[in-house]
Order: sequence, then structure tokens, then C-alpha cells
Amino acid sequence: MSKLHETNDAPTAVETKKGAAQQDQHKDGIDRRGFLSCMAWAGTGLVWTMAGGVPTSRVFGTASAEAQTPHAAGADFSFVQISDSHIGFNKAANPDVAGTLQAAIDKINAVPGSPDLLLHTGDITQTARASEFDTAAQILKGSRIKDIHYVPGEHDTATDDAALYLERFGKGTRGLGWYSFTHRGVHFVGLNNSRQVDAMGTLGAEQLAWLKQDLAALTPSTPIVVFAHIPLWMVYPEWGWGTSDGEQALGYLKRFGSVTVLNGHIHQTVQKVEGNVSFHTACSTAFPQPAPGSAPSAGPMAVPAGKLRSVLGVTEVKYMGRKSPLAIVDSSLESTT
Amino acid sequence: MPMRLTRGERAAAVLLIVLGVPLLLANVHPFGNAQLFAAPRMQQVQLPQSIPVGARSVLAADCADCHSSVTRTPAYGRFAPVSWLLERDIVEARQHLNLSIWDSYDADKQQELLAEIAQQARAGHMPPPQYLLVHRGARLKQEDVAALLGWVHSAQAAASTATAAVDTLDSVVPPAQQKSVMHLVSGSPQSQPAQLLPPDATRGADLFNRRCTGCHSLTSNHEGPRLGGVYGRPSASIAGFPYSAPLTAAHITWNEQTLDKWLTDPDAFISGVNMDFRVPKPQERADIIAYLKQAQ
Repeated sequence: MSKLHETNDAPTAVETKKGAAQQDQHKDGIDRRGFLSCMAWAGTGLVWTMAGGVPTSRVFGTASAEAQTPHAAGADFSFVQISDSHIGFNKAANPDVAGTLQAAIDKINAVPGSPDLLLHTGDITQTARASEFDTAAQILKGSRIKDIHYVPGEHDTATDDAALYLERFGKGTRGLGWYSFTHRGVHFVGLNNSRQVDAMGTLGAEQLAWLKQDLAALTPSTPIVVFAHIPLWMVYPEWGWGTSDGEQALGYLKRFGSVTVLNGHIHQTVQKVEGNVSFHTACSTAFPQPAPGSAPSAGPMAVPAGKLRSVLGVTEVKYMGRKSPLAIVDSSLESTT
Repeated sequence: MPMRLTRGERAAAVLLIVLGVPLLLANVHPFGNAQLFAAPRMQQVQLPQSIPVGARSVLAADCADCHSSVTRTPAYGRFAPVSWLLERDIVEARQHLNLSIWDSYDADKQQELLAEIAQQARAGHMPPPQYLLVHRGARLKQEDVAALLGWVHSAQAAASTATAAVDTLDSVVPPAQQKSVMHLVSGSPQSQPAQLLPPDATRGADLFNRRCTGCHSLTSNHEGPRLGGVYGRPSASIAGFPYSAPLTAAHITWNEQTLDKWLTDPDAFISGVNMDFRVPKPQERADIIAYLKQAQ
């Protein structure tokens, strides 16, 4: 857990940028600058680049991220992650969630190069109303990236057992919205762990059985990207920030050389590398949540006026050569580019 | 030798092209055919009588152009591309809510739509800007919103009463006769209220796990307060839980009626509260409440 918490001591966004010059890449290869700025409550999305089977990522628009844009040498392709748009939410923490999702899309459209895919890791809507799905679809239609893949969050599924989600965003998926596809040699697996027991995510036996079978035919050198809403690993079980049977899913992934797990739900970036598996959670496009244990409970966090967009973000990931480090970069909606 | 046209003939030709081409193109329906001119234009928009007259007149005046089958299409709607834009919005609007077929929606669907109508009216999202641009008078006034909310609340209350009534009826009236009694209870003879089953705590427990446990547990506070013993408890009474000011000030006791209203739409019941989740189906609410009643 200690590794997690180091990300929570983030300075403010301004300080992060100042300190960024010395901070560069750490020996584990994570671009800490990028996600620190998100932890200073920026959060929008992440651009990921795949090269030779290893993903690197950066947040949109931070000066540091632009400077070391891994579009450069050897990138096979890049993709973007956004999360937790909560269309329909209208409380004090963000009265204009459509506006901030639009800002994220604008940011994505301004990413240099052209990311191949856009992943949305759930809580597209606040309460799974038809009108909320409509608004989200309308805004997402404006994305320059047309190949968009979704997984549901509990806000998309708890009202009606995912019925409307499956109709609007989960066509052609299995069970309650899980599926896989291969893009340029990278195997992507979308999971639904939004069914909660005491706030903790679950995958369930049926989905686990499918996952085992889905992975069975792949060679260990196949790069894997798993994306699901609730963190697959135990970020903070006290608040239900984990998946009760996530361990089993991760067991099936042990034999692969490069595994990247992307989640949302907790509205802040937390990263961890464990053996061959790197974990990352993305910021929300709607509102921040408190750092684990820093408040009596999880929930929308109101931030001082004018600060909101600095805590929302987009994640860009670049898939780089096998020996290159993982680079995940989160950028805030506020930063320029 | 090129044909020479008089100025009048040229003007006529231009007019023919400017009006004729859009008129012809309006026969194409790239965004769906809303049959805008299929029926003669109605002087008065007729909506189902099951909707109370106050709400019905607001709906007829401000909503029915898109949310019913009796659209009063303006003359310029005969010309593309305006016709396309109109059709796109109207086809989509009718898919969501077509007031002309209100009575054919089942009780669950009606409850869902009612909650949606209340939310849209309160938030001021409807009618949408492109409609208001042309129909300036259609912006909902305070009394219009009040009329719509009045309808929504009375219909929601009727559905809850119906639930309770079935509960009572079960012991006295054979199921075959319940339907006719139900019509009296719900006060809406045209609509077909679903046969609500008696509240059941076992079904409620399952629903609690599917709907509520993302934010609540019985034994400890999560994003929402712990719910063991919530039935019969005064509102906002868990010490140390950060309730919203409006809920803290509400001073209500959680029972069948208050919990049902709360679960239907917390914000409509007590404005400005934190909980932003609803259980649209009356049967599910009744079952969850039955579960909470025994989960002490």
C-alpha cells in the first residue's frame, strides 16, 4: 500500500510543474510528473502508446508530457482513456459535467498524432437515464477518435441491471458487457466489475470463466490491456476500492509478459507496478474524490471555485518497444494544448 | 442560338429552383420520416384524457410538437434541410416519450417517464434551445413546472397507494377481481397498472444488493450512511455522518411513505440532498422497503 500513497502527497498543480524539470523518469519508468499533476487534482484522460508490446502513457496537455511525447521514436500506436463522466450529475461538486466531458473530448481532439482508440472506463452516466446516455453519446460523437470502447460502472448499471447500458453502449458484448478484441497485436479485454457487494466490485464466476478461456489461446508474449471500472486490485478496501475476486483474474494474467490494467471509479490517479503487471486508475472528467482515508467516506469532493478543471483529466497511453518503460501520463482539463 | 429569357422568366426560374429543389428534397428523410404532413393540421392538440387537465394543457402547448404524434409543423417544415432537422429531433423525441400513446405504456414505463419529466422540467432542460429559438413562448414558466410536478407527484402517489392496496386486497379480494379495483385505486382508468405483488423482503434483499450496496451497507457508513435500523429512525440521525443541510433540517421519520417518496426521487422529495439515485419501479421500492424494515 505504501507505494500507492506516495502519489497522494502531490503538491499543487503549479508546484508540480515547477518541480517537474528535475523529476523526469524514475527507474521503474513511470512518468511521475504527468500523474502528479493529475493528483494535484487534475483529471481528464490518459493517452497510451504501445510499442513492441509495452504501453507508455501520458496525461494530456501537461507541458512535461508534450515535451517528452512518446509519439517520437518507435511508437506502435497510442490510445486514450477517459473515465467517470457522470452525465446527469448536477450537484455542487460539478454542475456542468457535460461541459467538462466536452472539454476532455476537445483535449483528445487536440492530441498530436492520432490515437487509434478511445477507452471509457465507466460511469458514463450518473443514474443510467436514457437522456443521460443520449447526452453522453452526443458529446462522444464529437471525438476525432471514432473507435471507442466502453465498460460500465455501477452508475450505469445499478438502476436497471445494465439493461439500458447494454442497449446503448454494450451492443455485441457478452454477459453483462464484457468482451475482448485485438488491436495491432495487443489484446484488449473489457470487464464489468460494477456489481458491488459492500461497495467492493465483483466479476463473478461466469465472467471469470470466460476470461480464462479468452486468454487461453494467447501466447505469453501477447501484450494485454485489461480495462474495467472499479480497480481490479485493492486500492483501498475500506471504501470498497477494489475487486473482491480480482485476484483470480490477475492469476490468469500472470503468465503474460506485459499486462496493463486500467481502471476508473476512484476519480484520481493511482499507479502501481507489480511484476509484469502495471496498474493505473484514471481521473474523472466530472469531479474529484478524496484520497483514500483522507475523508470520512468516498464521494464527490467540492473544490474551490476555479479549481475544478485542474482536477479533471484525460489519460494518454503510448505502446512502446518491449524494453521501454511504461509511460502513462494524465493531463488536466485546464492545462493548455 | 441561346434562348433569351426575359427578366420575369429568369426570376420565375430562380424561384422555381430556390423553392422547388428544397421542396423535392424534403421527400428524402435522412434522419427518419416523422410523417409531418400526413395528417391534417390540428387546431387543438388532443392528448390522452388520463393526464390531468392542468398538466395536459402545458404538455399540449409546449411539448407535444415533438413528444406526440400530432406535431403542428410550420410551413417552412416542407423545405429541406429544415425538414430534416425537424424530423431528426421529432423522431428521437417520440422514441423517448410519445404522449399520444401515453396510455399504452405499462405502469413501470410510466413511472420511469414521470420521473424523467419531473427531472427535465425542474432542471429547465426542456424544451431544448433549438425549439425555444422559434417558439419563444414555449419556455416553461414556474406555474407550468408546478403543473407538471403536480401530475408527476399525484401519479407517483397513486402508484404507491396501488402497491399498498394490492397488499391489503390480497387478503380480501380474489386476484381475478383485483384489476378492476386497482383502476379505482390508481385513479387512471385508461392506464393498465401492473399487478404489483405484495412487498417481499427476500426479493428486497436481492434488490438491495443490486441497487444499493455501491453506496450503502447495513453495518457501516460508506458514501451513504449505514442502513441497518433505518426503518423507524429519524432522518439524518447517524452521528458523525456528513448529511446535507436540507436532509439534516428535514426531521422526518423513515417509514413506508417517506422511504417510498425518497427512493422515487430524493431530490423531488427534499430539494438539495446528496443522494442522487432512484428506484423507478414501484414494486422494487416496496420490496426494498420491506427488506429495510426487517434489517435492524
